Amino acid sequence: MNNTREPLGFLPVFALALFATGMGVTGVVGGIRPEFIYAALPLLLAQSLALLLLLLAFRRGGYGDAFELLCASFSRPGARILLLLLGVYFAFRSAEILRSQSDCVSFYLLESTPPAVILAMLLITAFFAAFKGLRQLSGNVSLLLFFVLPLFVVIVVVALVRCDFGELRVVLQPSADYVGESVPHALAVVSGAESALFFLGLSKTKKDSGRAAVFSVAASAVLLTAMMLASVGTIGASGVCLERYPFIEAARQINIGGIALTERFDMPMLVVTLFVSIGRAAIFLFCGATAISAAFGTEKRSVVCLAMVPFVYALALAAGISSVGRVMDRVAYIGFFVIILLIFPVAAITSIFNGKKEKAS
Amino acid sequence: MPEQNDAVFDISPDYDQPVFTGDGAFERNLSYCRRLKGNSSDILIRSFVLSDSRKCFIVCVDGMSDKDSVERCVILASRRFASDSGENKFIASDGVLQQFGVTEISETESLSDGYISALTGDVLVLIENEPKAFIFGYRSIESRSIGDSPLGGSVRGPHEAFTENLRSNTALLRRRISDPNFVIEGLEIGRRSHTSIGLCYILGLTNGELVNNVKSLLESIDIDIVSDSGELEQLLEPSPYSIFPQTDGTELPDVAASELCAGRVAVIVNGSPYVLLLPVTLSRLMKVSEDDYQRWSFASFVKVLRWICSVISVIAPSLYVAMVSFHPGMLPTDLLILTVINRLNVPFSSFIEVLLLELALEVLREASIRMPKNIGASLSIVGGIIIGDAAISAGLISPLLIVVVGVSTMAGFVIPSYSLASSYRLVKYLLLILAAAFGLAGLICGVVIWLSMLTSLRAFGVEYTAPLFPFSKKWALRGFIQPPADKRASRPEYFDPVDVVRYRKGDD
Repeated sequence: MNNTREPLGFLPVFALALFATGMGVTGVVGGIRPEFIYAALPLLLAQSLALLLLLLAFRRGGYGDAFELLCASFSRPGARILLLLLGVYFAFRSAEILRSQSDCVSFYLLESTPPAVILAMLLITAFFAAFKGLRQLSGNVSLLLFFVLPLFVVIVVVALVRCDFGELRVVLQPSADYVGESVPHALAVVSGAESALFFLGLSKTKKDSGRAAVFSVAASAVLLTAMMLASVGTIGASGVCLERYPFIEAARQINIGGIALTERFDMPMLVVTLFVSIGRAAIFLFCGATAISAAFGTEKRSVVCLAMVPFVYALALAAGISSVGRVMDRVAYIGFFVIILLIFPVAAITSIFNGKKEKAS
Repeated sequence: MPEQNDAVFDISPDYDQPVFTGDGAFERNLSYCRRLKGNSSDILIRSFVLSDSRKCFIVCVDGMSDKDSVERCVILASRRFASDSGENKFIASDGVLQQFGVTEISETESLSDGYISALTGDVLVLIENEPKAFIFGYRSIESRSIGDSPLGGSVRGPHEAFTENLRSNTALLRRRISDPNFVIEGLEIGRRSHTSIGLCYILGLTNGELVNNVKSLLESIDIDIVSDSGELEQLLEPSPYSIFPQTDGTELPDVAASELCAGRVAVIVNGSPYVLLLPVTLSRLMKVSEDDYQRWSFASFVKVLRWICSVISVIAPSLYVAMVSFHPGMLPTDLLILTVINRLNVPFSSFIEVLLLELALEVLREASIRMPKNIGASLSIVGGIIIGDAAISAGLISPLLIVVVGVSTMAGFVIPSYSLASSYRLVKYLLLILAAAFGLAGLICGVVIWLSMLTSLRAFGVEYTAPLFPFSKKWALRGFIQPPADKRASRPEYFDPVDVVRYRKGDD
């Protein structure tokens, strides 16, 4: 963990959390209905609350990293086992993101290239972005944010301006049954704030990290809602349901008169999703490597990160097999809920309790 | 006479030969110097007798010491000294200073050090029965006169550039910063070259930790010969395997002075007109001196243009390959038709086509640097127009590609730092290969790798990507927009200067 203890300012924390939650654009794959956002938004809200709990735990306890926090909240061996499980969980998440993105690239950009090759390319890029540590990773996502966020905002705004608002009425009449069904998919799309366990403790000031954590999740929620509305307004609710990649298909329909630099406006959208997916996979890869190296008490995080690459690659390839894919989905759901419903609250309560005990003594 | 294979001088830093004293000391000193001189024809050793009958000899290098001064001041004055003083004593350097009229004089008890000083242009003087040697500063090395920089100066701004002479360069800086706090510390690097180095900084402005870091790094360099600051630059870089330059440099004294006032450190190497500036950031490499001299509005426009050009220079050829080879459907219909018509008779794939043209340009560029100046211009015409035109006529490359590669090459010339532009040329090939293999997806992966390479760099405690990362609201904007002169009140905070205030508005 060469430079993982260097404090981070507002922007890196914001960018990391925003990319970790996928900006609401990565992983939205076909078969969804507009009600999807009613499942995604509570999940984002839950993540935002969980982040505040985590922040409280870090601040009250004065912990510098996840290992210290988990050791204080659980026993030392317990913390090591938890970290190992977290490492595996993040490897699964990274594989899931990469698999989903390689399918998207294969569908739109490289029809004749085998997905395994595209997957390898994306994984190597994610590894390159993450292996040197948190400083480099946060730098990458911060710089990417300057490019990605304005581009995405332009797409969303243009799409919203050009869409048919009459179509949006469908969104206001959600079917309760479908909202429940959408939760698993929404989890894959918007979860990721749990990765903050590995960087939130390093934020420069309490004010900075608090704002960054809340704003990032809020930004993801706004972008997801806006893009969903824009998609429904552009290609209709049935289009969103039928298309494999509804957001990209919606972007394909957009055109700014006079600025026809590309025949299809889906190219900027593909650029955005690619950048965000690589950034997101890199964050999960980093978290996995940090967790596993902390579990084994080694400082060689870069080596662990390198060792994880074939494992993640194998997982991502295996995700193509439907039974393995289902297992991976389950691991992702269980891991997510365990982290935000168990680890974060326990850590927060323990740190408050420890803080009070210290005060009393 | 020493054998050809035997070294006559131990160059290890611990070696020291004190001035011989006692009986026969003068002869031993003289024979030591003669042994070191060996067969060298440029080293002059002249011995003579003072009027008080004491023997004296001098050591100097022909062409490096001012012969007139040596003859007039040393030999004649030393004779006068002995006769005028009336005493058969030659006691202290103060006396020497008075009698010889030398402004720069030093004493040494080390004969080996004195000899090395003589090899750098000073004059070593040894007098019988004196326990010390005297070194007179009579350096006079022929060098280029101060003129325009060959790397290109500015339309608005001074037109003088550094030369290969350390003292001329320090004088150029001192003329611009007449602050008593401005320090030019003298160091020496090179076991054999004994190259003089000037470490420049401003006390009370430059961060002390930065100065100490640079100084200790310079002192730790153990190399035999430093020929140019480019060599030293590579030894100072914290990430030697990175393709990006980790030091900045300039040939313009006004830029060096301005950067010193921004809180950076300058390293001047004797024999090199290129002054190193530390630490470096990407935004600093994209800055030119004219930004400060022009009106803020136009300077801002040019700054933004420069950033756009730097991206175009790297991305344009790979974007062309990605679009033409993989995603022609993404091009507007008219452009697609034009591209298809243009490429109709081209026998190569777009990647090979781009690669051939880029490599041809690299060859042309390299050849024009190595060619004699008067042939260079003709070569450009032959290479650029005749070969280019012939290649299009022969159907080897498409005219559209000429436009893409031409624009990309011209955009590359807009990057102010030659080292950065060279690094970007390498990045361009990386992106080209990725785009040829994976189209737009490969290009995007390449951009992430490019960013990763940039964000992983940090030199002397300053992030390469500052002020974008770590983000500074005020300075990030200034990387792209030039504020009016009265708004440029502070120095860049990422250099952590001691004195932050640059400009104060006077009270009305």
